[in-house]
Amino acid sequence: MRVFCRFATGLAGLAGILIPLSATTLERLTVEEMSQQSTAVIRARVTGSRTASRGTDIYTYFQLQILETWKSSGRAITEVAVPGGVANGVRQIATGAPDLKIGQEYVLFLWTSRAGLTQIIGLSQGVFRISADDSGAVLAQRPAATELMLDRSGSPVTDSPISIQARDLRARVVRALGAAK
Amino acid sequence: MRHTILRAALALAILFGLTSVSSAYYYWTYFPGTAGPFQPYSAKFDLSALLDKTVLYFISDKGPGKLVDGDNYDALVSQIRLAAETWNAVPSSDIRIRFGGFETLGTAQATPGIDVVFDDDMPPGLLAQTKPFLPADVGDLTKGPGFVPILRSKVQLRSDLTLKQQASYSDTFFLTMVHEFGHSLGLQHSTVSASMSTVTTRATTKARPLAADDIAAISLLYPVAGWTATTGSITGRVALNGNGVNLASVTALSANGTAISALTNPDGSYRIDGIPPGDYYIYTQPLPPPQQDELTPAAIVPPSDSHGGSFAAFTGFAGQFFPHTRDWTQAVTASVKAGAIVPNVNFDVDPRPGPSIYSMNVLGYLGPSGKEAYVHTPLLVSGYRGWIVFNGAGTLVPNSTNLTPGLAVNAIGPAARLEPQYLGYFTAGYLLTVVDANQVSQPTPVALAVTTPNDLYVLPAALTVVPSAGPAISSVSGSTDALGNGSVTIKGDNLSQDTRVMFDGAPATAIQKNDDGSFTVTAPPAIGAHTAVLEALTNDGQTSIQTMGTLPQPTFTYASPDHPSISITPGTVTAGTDMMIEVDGINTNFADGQTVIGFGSSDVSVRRIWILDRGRALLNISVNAAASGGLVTVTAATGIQAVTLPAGLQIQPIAAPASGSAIQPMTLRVPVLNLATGLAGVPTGGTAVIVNAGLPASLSGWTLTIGGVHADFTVDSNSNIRAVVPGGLPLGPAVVKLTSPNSDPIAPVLVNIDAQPPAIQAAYDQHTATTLTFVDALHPAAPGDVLFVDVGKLNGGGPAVPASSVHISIGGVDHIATSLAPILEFGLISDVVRVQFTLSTGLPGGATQPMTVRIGTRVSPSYTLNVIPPAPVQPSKQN
Repeated sequence: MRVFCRFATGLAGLAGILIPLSATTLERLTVEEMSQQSTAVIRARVTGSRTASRGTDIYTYFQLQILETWKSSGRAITEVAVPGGVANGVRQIATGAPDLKIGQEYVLFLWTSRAGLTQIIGLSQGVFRISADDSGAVLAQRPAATELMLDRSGSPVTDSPISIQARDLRARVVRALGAAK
Repeated sequence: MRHTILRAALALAILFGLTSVSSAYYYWTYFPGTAGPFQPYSAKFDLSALLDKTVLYFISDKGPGKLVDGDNYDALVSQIRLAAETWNAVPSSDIRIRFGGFETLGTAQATPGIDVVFDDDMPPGLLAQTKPFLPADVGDLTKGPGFVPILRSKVQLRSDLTLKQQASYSDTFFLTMVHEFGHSLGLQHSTVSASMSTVTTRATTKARPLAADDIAAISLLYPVAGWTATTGSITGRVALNGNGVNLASVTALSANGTAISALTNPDGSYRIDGIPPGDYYIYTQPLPPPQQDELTPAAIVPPSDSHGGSFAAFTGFAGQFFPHTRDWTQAVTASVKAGAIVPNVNFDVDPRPGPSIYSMNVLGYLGPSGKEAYVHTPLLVSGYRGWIVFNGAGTLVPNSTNLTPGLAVNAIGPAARLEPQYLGYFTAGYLLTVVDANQVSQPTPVALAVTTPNDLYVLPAALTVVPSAGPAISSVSGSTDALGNGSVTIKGDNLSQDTRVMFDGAPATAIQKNDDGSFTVTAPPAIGAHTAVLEALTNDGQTSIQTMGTLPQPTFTYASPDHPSISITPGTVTAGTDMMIEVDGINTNFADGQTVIGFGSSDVSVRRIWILDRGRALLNISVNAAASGGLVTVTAATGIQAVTLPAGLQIQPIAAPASGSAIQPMTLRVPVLNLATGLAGVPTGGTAVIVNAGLPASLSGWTLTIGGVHADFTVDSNSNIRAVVPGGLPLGPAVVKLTSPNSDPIAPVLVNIDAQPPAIQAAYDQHTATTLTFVDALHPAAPGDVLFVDVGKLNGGGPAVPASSVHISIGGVDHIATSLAPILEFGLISDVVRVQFTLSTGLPGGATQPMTVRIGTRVSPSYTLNVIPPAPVQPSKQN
């Protein structure tokens, strides 16, 4: 019984769990963490795509029509890079890359590297699809991750689906940015 | 009765030649068209484009920007190298992967390879990914080589490695790298808890990093000759309302936990190959749904047609065992035999909106009392009775702590049992149950069958039962001598001479047991005051990290001499040529079998290394004719010690005339072969065959020296030089130098001078425990008999060779000696050794078979062995 209590206590903390990483393992980021770690948060519509090489890597660049900017680094964003694609006769496969649909509206948590490459945070965690519910409310939705995610200490955590009114998501982003100051 | 009939039907495996290796989808797969029949073409490295069937991998010389506190780059590199080496431990795989040193990003390379980089461009939230590069246009697959070539692969890690699980000393980092290297070689995700499974269900450990499914996968993609005939296959179809189901997972699962899987073709057909003989349950279940906005279920890229179209996975069905049951106790087993196919294992699946249960994560709580820690897919010792917990999509009613109605969890097979009365909600979305681990004689993975009234989910290797407790290290003490050799004494529990003691990613050598029960090992070389984390690994898959719970990991700090450095001669090589290189080290610890030398480019292949002493090595290298010019970094890695010489080698491209194609420079090719054996070692007096390129048709007036001694030579009909190796040369590397009358620059190469070959003197059959019968025409040997062969010069004048290195070829069938015993003559040990082995039952027909004995590159002359020929095979009929 004593062991069981330790077991329960330990699980609640989930400390020291040994969980392998993989190509598609994500470090779980909350909306607040994504807000703070991103360099830009935007609401945008995907208007097109192209593929191009960048060094030895190939990216598919999705062109964006910016509808709202919730966080800005001051750098104008016109497109976001998703790893993988075809260029110069070579196909590069990036398993687990998100699939953005042309014409679809999203809230995107973006991160621009020091070298100037703008990508989505956490491969697909930073993608919220915008849609309207039956009442006409604008929702930002992200399904739950089905694979294990790790928190900052490396412990596994359970993800939850997120369906939130876009204005409430924006408010969380603004609050997170305010709290970070 | 019905099951008896089905069992009989499945046991009626149809003997069928496995003429091609196909099936299995967790490769990147292409089909020639959009309609069946679907013949898969997988993406893989073209072994014919790789020297020695070896793909080189490189680690970026731009290391990670940040590491976990206490971690260091040398340790990280050693773990990466250990992870890559894991794939070389599969004897049925023909591809080898070797460290090519540190690489400067942007180095132009024409030869396929693998790059490991620490990427500043990887965004937060993404830890690692691997990207294979494939031709965009695969053309007409039916007219190609039978596969799609991987041009290069890139393994990307974040430059910021400060997450706890990215520490080099965590098993997780190592297992991640094994997984990523698997991707880089052409493997996609598996669904059966293998190394190639996604993070939630992976059940491998650092001590046993590959599961049977991984071994089958890499072996099917790169099979060694004859391997497929040693395994069996299962074929069938998965259909829903008569329509084929694409990308359904189908798994063969034995009661001892072995799981081998495949995915269905677009028409629902499947074929599981590479199954070790035995009895198997077979089940099918849908792939788990895609994660968030990922493109595909289970993060598996679906097959493409040759025009770029893809065949999406169908996941709208419920899992089931064959034949159409969710109760594993009602399932029938298929008897898989070597070289045979079990056909018509067909599934008629039931529709449902999608998988209701998937991605289950099982945790145990292991460690000494008071120091327990959670362990993923735990290894439990026979006799264990305790809690395990798990979570998984679909196990709870959404937004509640109520179990899904009708949820049941059972252990498959005899190794463990779950106590159903304890199944309940635990905390934080986890459920708990109690497991009883039964007696086993070897590590036995246990699959769980999770059922609801309308679905089945099977998780292979959810836990593993092991016969005895795992290793633990309680204390470490040691010292480093003036040459940098660490001698370390280790105390702990459940250690043995079979235990592998790792210093970071490098194994200790020369493990010896002391009278007080402790063990003394020789630590692998390291640089300076390096602190290595120690870990004990046992053959049953247990690791001291898991066994020791939250106890701190033991360490050893070296007190090595001054910083090592290397230099090389020559410093310039020409594309399209082979040559010898000398590497000289100061404060280095070169060791035979441990030192790897690389040149930071897949266009420069090290063909062989001779370690002369701790500071001197000789190499034969080959430089791709298509190599671009430039400077590359030279790396010499031994243990944890990795010494670099930045910009240490200049590659000169082949000079091209103003018009026309490039001119092949004059070169001798390596390896230099023995005419008698075709192997890369020649005894004095033997004839060396030296392939060459760019030489004139006539070599009149040219001279050849071997080991500095003039050697007569001729040129054969293939333009190869044939030279008799002069007598008196010492064993080991000897310089082969060809000189033209004009003293044209032709780089020398090395040939290995072997000891004289062994000679078979007699063969005996052990008919009784005490009686040996000389094998001749009147007393032929029978397949399965224990034979003894007396062999002279087996050890070649050197130290005694181990039995495992002695190969006996009979009728082309390889046998490995099981024991060696010196023969006494006049009471003294002679140079004759009695070699024992068991005669294979798979010999070709014929009453006499040629027999040779080989140790390394030394092969005996052929000896005729009289055998009882195998009975002729009766042709079987296919019903």
